[in-house]
Amino acid sequence: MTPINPLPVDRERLMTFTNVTLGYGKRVILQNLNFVLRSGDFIGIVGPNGAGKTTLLHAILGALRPQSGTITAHKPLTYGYVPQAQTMDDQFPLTALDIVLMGRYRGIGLLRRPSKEDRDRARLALEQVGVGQLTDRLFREFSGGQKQRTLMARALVSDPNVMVLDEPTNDMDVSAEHATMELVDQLQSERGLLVLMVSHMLNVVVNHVEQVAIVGGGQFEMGAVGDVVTPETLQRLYNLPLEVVEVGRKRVVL
Amino acid sequence: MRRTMGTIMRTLAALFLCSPLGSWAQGTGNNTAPPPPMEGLNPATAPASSRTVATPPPDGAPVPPPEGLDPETAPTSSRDAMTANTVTTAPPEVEEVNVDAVGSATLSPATVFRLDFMQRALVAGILVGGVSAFLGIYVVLRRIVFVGIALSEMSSAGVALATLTKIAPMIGSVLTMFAGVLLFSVRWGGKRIRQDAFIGIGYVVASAGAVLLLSKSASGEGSMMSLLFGDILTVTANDIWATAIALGITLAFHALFYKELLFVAFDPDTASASGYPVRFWELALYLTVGLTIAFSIHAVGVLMTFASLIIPPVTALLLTRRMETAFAVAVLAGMIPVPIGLYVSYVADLPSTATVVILEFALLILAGIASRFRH
Repeated sequence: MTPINPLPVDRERLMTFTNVTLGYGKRVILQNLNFVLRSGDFIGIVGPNGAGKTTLLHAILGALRPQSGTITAHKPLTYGYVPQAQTMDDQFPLTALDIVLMGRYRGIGLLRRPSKEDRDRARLALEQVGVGQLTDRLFREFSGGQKQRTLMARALVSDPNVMVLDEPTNDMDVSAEHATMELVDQLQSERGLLVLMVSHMLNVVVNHVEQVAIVGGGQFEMGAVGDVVTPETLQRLYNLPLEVVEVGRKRVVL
Repeated sequence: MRRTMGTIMRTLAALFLCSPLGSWAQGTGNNTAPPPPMEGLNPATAPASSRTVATPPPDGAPVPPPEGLDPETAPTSSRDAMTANTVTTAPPEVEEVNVDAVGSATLSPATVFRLDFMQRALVAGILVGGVSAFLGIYVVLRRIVFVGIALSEMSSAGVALATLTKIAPMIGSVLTMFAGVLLFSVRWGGKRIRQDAFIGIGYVVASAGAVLLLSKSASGEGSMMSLLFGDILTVTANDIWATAIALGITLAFHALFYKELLFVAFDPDTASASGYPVRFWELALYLTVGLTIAFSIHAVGVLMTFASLIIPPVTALLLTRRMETAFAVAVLAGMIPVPIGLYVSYVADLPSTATVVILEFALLILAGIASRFRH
């Protein structure tokens, strides 16, 4: 049985997984999941391709029902989902404002158009993530970092209590990667959001999140970075002799 | 001016009577009805001629709809349509006209569009061109162009089925379109086989099915040509009303649910994470596209319907940098070639829908050049 994560218990519980098995059809991807997600948690989800990261994410987002066990939401949850910027379709002639407004659509409801207040909120969100000057520019003309910030603004404008980031630093240079993660850190600490970040970039994950969920080979392990990201876990996960060393105040996976 | 028009129309009538169809219309064929009436003719002012041609009914009654026209002789050009339209309704009156006037006159658009069948063609063409182009923005941006042609072919097979089973063509067309949408929305091969393979299969099977069904019809080849190139010049007022209602419902749906359709089309993953039933909205998009196709091909044929679904939207996306303006420009690019194409096809005696399609393409070329210069 996987351990219940031991980290801060004074935070508000948002979601509890109890003996959950996930999969598609008859195929089991992950089983016996037991953990609690709390407001203010910053959790990195790592693992090799095809290990079940997306499956876990879909279950958290409510898009996949468990094959067995229960997933309990302790309060109404609003998700701010930030997809991979490079998967966005560049054919659509949409401005940054058009895209951020999509984050308001659910709240606006059917048969109604965005109001001036919705537009003002969208502009404010773009300013908060540092791309206010791009409001009326075409999204497809942005750099990877600018696209990622615009998508974060869209996630934030819906006033979420859970923010889900899918590979937020993929295909970014070091500078853009650093700036993006600084922004995520800032948003998480300022707003007290539950942040879930799926990433292949182990070095990014271990230096920014407080907990790690490791998914691989049908196994699931979750806990504080120092407890979970160990040479033994990494060997089992990637079948490589990896080490975690501290350089200054940074952790580096070699 | 009126005299000139009358002369021209008489000349056209004289040319018609020299044609095989003219002989047929005069009674040498299966139909013993005399030659057709034509609006715009003024018998009182017509010059004398050595040939016998038709004159309009005394009461100036409009040309009736073309039901009952043998698909073998279904018109593809404006002048064919004019003659075909009138074959079954001509009164037994004949008059002498002067065919020497042929070629000396020019036909103004006002003259051409005074003809009832040209007016109906204009309305049907503008309806289909505009609405198809509007929906085509989604078709192009979502990269479901192949779905468009496959649904067109499914609808054609439905018309063929209706021809054989004697049900209303629009009912057959809509039923097979629905079947197509449902078939294409199921992931038959899971992750092993891409969905476009099944859409391609739907296209070829529908094509083969239409050919097989029409092979059992007395007017098989004519019906096939009619399905492909359409009968825009023989479209009836009832067809226009039915098409207008169906396309109106489609447009209203898109106006009411613009933001949902846009969100799901642009970013289905995030829409799903935000709680939108993505499959429902995708199905709604497919159904509205399919409904438009099903009604449009009955009016203008597969060729123009599919062309209007693809060419004007691409023109618009080349020229514009905003979603809203892309929709507006696409609608204009779908409508503008219709009156020009109908007029040119009438004057040059060309197939109407093919002329409209070529004009849509000409606009696309201009847009492409403009786009290259702008960038």
